[in-house]
Amino acid sequence: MNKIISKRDIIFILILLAIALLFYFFAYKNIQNDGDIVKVTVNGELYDTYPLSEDREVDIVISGEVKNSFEIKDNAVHMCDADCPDKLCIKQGQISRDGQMIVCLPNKVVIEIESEEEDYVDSISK
Amino acid sequence: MARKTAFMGVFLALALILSYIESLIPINFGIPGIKLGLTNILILIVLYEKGAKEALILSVVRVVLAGFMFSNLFGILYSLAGCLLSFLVMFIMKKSDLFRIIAVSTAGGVAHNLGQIAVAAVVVENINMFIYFPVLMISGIITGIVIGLLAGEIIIRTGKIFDTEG
Repeated sequence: MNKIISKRDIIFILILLAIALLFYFFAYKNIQNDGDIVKVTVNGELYDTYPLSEDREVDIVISGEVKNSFEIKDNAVHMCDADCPDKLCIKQGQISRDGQMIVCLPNKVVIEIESEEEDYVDSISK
Repeated sequence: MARKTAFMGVFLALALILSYIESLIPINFGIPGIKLGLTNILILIVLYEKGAKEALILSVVRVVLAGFMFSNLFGILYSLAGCLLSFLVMFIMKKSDLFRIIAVSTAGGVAHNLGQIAVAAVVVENINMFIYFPVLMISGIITGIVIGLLAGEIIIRTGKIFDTEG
């Protein structure tokens, strides 16, 4: 066709898109059901778990300093404060379903929602 | 040698300006890591018109300098993984001579996001980070197409500049 794009390129891009969509459906299949446990990990180690149904505010304290604080309200979790420079964890908004997570990369904090009942997809992927 | 130094200097300056412009554009889809990848236009031009070595030097130096100016040490680690993987994929794709610039750019965009997410997964020690991958992959494809188009048009229109250069 020309120097920039050929038929092969279009096919290649379409294949990439198809792979992405396939991943999308597999990855999001297991967040259909509501979760019920809020699991907090710091640096890969379990920090604490909280029930999603109880409203509360939690400060995550790492080596004596409050690094992040999040709020559990109406079966949803959102990060309300963080000392990291970019505040991306706050911008990630709220999460409520199984498998969703909020990540604060600079503080290595991960807040995940899990479900007590393991579903089919989970039992394979774990 | 002097010409080459000047050429690399100009491109590095351009790359830093584009990094700066990119840091001013707020794109927020609730997922960290979605960016336009404007500097990849320059990496592609250098890869096509000068060579692999120059493109690699440009992308690494760009990431380190832009990281110190607009981000932090963490951001450097994060984008370095993305830029190296992206460069590797684009280099192999171009070397294979099977694809034009659009496909090379798109593969580079996807590889960039894959590299970043791999670092993020290692840092937080949580493989579930890959749940972001489909979204980042699609965003990489879209930006890759746009960047590839732009770089291709620029190469067609300014390619002669590179020919006269020793």
